[in-house]
Amino acid sequence: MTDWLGPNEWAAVLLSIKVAFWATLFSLPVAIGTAYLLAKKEFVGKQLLNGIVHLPLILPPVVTGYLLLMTFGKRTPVGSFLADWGIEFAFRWSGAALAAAIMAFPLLVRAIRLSIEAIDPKLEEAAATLGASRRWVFITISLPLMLPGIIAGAVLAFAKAMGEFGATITFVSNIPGQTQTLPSAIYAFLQVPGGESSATKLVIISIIIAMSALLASEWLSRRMNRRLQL
Amino acid sequence: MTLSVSLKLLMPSFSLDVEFEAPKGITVLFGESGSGKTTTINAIAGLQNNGQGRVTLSDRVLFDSDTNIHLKPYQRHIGYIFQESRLFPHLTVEQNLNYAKHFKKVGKSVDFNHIVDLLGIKPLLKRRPNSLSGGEKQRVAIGRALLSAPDLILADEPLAALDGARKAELLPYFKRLNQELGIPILYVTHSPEEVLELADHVIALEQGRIVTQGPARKVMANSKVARTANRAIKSTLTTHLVRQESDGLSELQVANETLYVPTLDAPIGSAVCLELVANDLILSESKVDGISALNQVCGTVDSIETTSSSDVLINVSVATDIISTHITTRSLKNLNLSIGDPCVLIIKSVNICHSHRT
Repeated sequence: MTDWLGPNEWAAVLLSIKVAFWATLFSLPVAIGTAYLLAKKEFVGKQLLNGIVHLPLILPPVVTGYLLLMTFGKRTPVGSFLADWGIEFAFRWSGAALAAAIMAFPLLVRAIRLSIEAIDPKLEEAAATLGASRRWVFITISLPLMLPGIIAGAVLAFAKAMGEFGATITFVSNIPGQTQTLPSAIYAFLQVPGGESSATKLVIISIIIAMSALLASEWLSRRMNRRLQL
Repeated sequence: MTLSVSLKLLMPSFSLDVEFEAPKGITVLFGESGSGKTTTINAIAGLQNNGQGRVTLSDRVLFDSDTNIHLKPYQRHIGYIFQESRLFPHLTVEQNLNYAKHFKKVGKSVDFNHIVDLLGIKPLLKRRPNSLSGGEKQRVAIGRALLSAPDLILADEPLAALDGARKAELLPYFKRLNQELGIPILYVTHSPEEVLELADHVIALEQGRIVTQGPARKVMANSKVARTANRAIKSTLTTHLVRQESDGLSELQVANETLYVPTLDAPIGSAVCLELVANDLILSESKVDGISALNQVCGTVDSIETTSSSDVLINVSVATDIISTHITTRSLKNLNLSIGDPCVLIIKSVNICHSHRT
């Protein structure tokens, strides 16, 4: 396997997995909170929040990348503030993770929101009459019941994060070994003569990862749904 | 433990205005759908926006709009048995039953094994709700509510989703719960049979108002309530089996009266509840000889209700029961009956609703 892939190609694959993993992990709790808010609560500015959440889905990715650069770049107020705390995004792998997280966020929120809306509020009422406070109802009833949605959303988000290209390359560029993710590497290989075979290998790997993620999520959610049937 | 409720609720298409007390025992909220039964108990449980009023459970105030006390459902210690059982699908039966335990502060607890045995759900403990039948689900739901060690049980048509056989199977559990555990039960139903079987006290609701309340037999004999129940007006008479006759009849007794019914398969001395349909009764001033009807019972006129321009309903008290019968206004005039007068009910046919040892 290591012989089949060159060091740069191998680095791109590993980096992509790392980026997608952290992007999914960090956006998950925020997405659960946002989805819960959107599904269950009525508040002023709900439509605005909904719009902002979905913005990355409809904006050209390069615009999202540019906005990230404007916000988190080294010379911007936010960027320099975070830099004081030792957190830097621009032209770092962490920046790639941030870009991927933001691009995947709407998919995650949508999947989780659907699963929250599918929960029968009567079950939550029943839990309340049995002595569970709001927080405990959420932890013991709502959260387990939305698990299929969370898993489906996470897998989708992971796949989206693996494939993110436009925002990533705009925000963190395409530095081999540092910010060169799988799609950026494929793009880079296609720019140089004789890079086609490397590109093809990475394309095959992309397909394998995407397919296994999809199958895994299908299997998991079918298993879950069987358990949760009323 | 006495529940006292006073609620005023205004909704766009419906208003509720009720005031009642539920002493210990089984209190039934009776009325057709849309009469406000479920709204009332949801408000008691804290699941419904309470509007105006006050709800107390003994000395504990659950809700008081004047002093702005509004306990959350989980603070009320009220067990709620829902019509659709509402078991948690991601938990096993055992985990469902133990759910409330995790939130119990120190205090009274209920013996898990006792409840499981009482409801006969031991074999189900490891199963998941989706593999249970309707009756099993409902028994587990009853157990789950009981194991939260509630001060009061609310039951919202818990048998409505079940077929007749399952109903008959579950009804006795409610009686036993009340007898063995001593928890007051507020039970919502639109089924007159369940009222007669269970209720110590009945509150009849119609369009968000209480029509009448009181002991079950009295309330169910009320013509307004009977019309709510949309059925023939029936009364019940509790008698005792005293003898099996050789000609295929059983002799029953109530007060000084003797009645005969086809042989009952019950031990001597057991209580027998007879159901009398208002239209199957004849009212007479005195006992009549030379008549095929075997059963004639003396009583006194308790009340007279006008039901239509040509009909009245006469409620006759016999021993501790009230028996209703329809007669025409002309007959009423001929008989010249008024409240307190003695009279005789000639019974054309009876139904045995149930018999049990006392």
